[in-house]
Amino acid sequence: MGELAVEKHTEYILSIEKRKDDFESLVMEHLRLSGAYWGLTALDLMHKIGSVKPDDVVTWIMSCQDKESGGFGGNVGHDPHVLYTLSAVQVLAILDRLDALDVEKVSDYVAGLQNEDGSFSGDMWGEIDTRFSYVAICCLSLLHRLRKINVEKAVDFIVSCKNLDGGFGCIPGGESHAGQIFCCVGALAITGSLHHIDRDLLGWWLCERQCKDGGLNGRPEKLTDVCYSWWVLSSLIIIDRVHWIDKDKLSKFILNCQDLEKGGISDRPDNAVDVFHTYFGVAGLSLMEYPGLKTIDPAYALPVDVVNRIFFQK
Amino acid sequence: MEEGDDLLLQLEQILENDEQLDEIGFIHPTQFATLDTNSDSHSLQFNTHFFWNKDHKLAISFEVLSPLYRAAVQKHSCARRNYKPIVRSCSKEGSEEFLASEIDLLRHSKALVVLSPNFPTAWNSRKLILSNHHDLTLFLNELQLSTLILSYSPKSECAWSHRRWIIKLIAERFQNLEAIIRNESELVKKICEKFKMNYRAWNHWCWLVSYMTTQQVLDELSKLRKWAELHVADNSCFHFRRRLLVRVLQNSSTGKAKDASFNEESHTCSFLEGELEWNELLIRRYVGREALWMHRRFLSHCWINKFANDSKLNMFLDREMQLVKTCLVSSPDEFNDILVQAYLAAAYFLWLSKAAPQIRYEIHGRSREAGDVTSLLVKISPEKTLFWQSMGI
Repeated sequence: MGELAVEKHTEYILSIEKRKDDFESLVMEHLRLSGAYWGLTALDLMHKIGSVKPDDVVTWIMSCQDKESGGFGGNVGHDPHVLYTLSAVQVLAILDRLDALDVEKVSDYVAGLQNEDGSFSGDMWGEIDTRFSYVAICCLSLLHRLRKINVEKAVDFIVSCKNLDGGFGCIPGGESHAGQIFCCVGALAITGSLHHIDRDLLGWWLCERQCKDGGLNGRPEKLTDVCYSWWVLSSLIIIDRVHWIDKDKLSKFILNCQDLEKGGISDRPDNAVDVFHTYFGVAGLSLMEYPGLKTIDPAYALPVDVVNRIFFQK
Repeated sequence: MEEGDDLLLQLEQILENDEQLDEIGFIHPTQFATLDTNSDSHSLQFNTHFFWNKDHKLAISFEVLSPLYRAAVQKHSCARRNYKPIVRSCSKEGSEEFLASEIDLLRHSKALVVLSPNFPTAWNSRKLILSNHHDLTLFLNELQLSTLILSYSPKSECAWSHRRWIIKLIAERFQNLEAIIRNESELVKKICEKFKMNYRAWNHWCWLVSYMTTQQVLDELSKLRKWAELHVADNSCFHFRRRLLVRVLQNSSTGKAKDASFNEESHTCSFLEGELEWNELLIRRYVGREALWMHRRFLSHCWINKFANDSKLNMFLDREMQLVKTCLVSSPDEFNDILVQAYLAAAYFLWLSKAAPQIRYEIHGRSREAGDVTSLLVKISPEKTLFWQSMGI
């Protein structure tokens, strides 16, 4: 098992950009901007952000913007969507290059996606999901433009997606899912609305996600997966119930999912690695204050120093 | 090897020609040898080393996926560029140029979503075109395309979301959704049969509940019972039942139900009782299933909220205590399933005491009957020791 293989993971993340020919990589092209966020945040948490050239990244990111709407697509020439707009803002924040953005234009795009009932559509086609509520709120908060939306209604919609088990789903009546819970708890934290949460009840559901192998699952009866180290753990931290699970066992589970030869972290021990799980593994360890890693903010999903730079150095 | 453009043309012709196509698979070149080559006498010319099409099934060789994908991306983005300006400049939508650009974009976007089901921009191109049409057949064909893609990519978020977009359009323009809801419910069941606890599929079904009539909700509840009995570990299926039950309970409390069969308190009570009894039967039959106990928490919660001040409360709690006690074992050396059952029963008891503060006193009075559940929970699941201790009675 051993320690976190920082050098190997750095090499792995940097190598992803070079492998582009196989079909598996090609069909991921449409979400490259999110891939950039996962990779670069992991690098930054490991103090390795210096291994990329910020100018190249910024130029590429800006070429993913749809000039008309102001939103960002997942790659050059793709339609804009709020998910990739947040990824763009987060990456620029990490690189301390938010000045590259036309903040009014981008925030108008995001704010324009709010619906009458307070919910958010992902793009102009109208699919609604609490994920988009989080993404929009997080994005606008990072741009200091939360005032452009009706925060009260946005909160009401999120609260309407709460289930009797204390968790949250995609839409009112949707099944509780750790990923959706993170989104709802994160959005409520950013908007200062955590009083809508029954911390003991939600904490109960969340801590029941820890399984015998130390890992966390995302729903009852599911297998453990490294990505829930982020979704569950960050939510537990935000609602101040993280002491209810065994952090040592969880750290061991994540470290066991490393590919110590080629670098990268997988969903479960001995599976194939990918950048998504590499990020969530590193982020999970950072939440548990693993030595040598930067601390990550559980609501903004960015290193704490980046968040501080945005909110305290104005 | 043939050029990507040629291959793409062949693929697009197959997709156009076989309107009833219901399954697609990407397979290894060596697997082509095992496929039945006595194919129907095709009028189509395609390279049988890379494509196979029979009985409305299509196989594509792994070998050509990358060139096919690249060609599809390139052709789609050209078609998209050509389409937009025409829409803007053309007042007469029927013009030949316009129709040609539409057909072009539909053809290339279809090939692209077949090859890469989560390519959002290609799905959007189709929405762009469809939103200018008022033809129900066209919308139904689009649902069929999404079904085809879900047959091999059951978690494709874009394919599910595209379905919802189409259904919303049909609801706005043609209203009657009864037949559609029936089809959707069959589709979700079929997909969930093959791929367990598919969040996207069940979420789609939850989304549809708001379009259902009360009678449909009741029908779904009764039809789903058999399915649930065969899939007792499928938490999503039980969640969906809860979604339906909430609809029924809401209707009964607001008196919305027009069929009048569930607008009485006594009916609500017997409805919940029926579900509780059925759930208990399953808990006893299928030992150690978390999904079943989660469902019980929900049912008890509803029951207590409705009837906590009722004379029935003591009877209810006696039965719950009986169930918990028979499931508890004190020795952690028992077989795994039995141990898990004891763990779930103990957690359920603790949950009852916390989740319904109005009955805390009654639960407290019974805690001796259950024994030291906190110690049992700590013993079986030590990783949550602090949690059990802070929740303990």
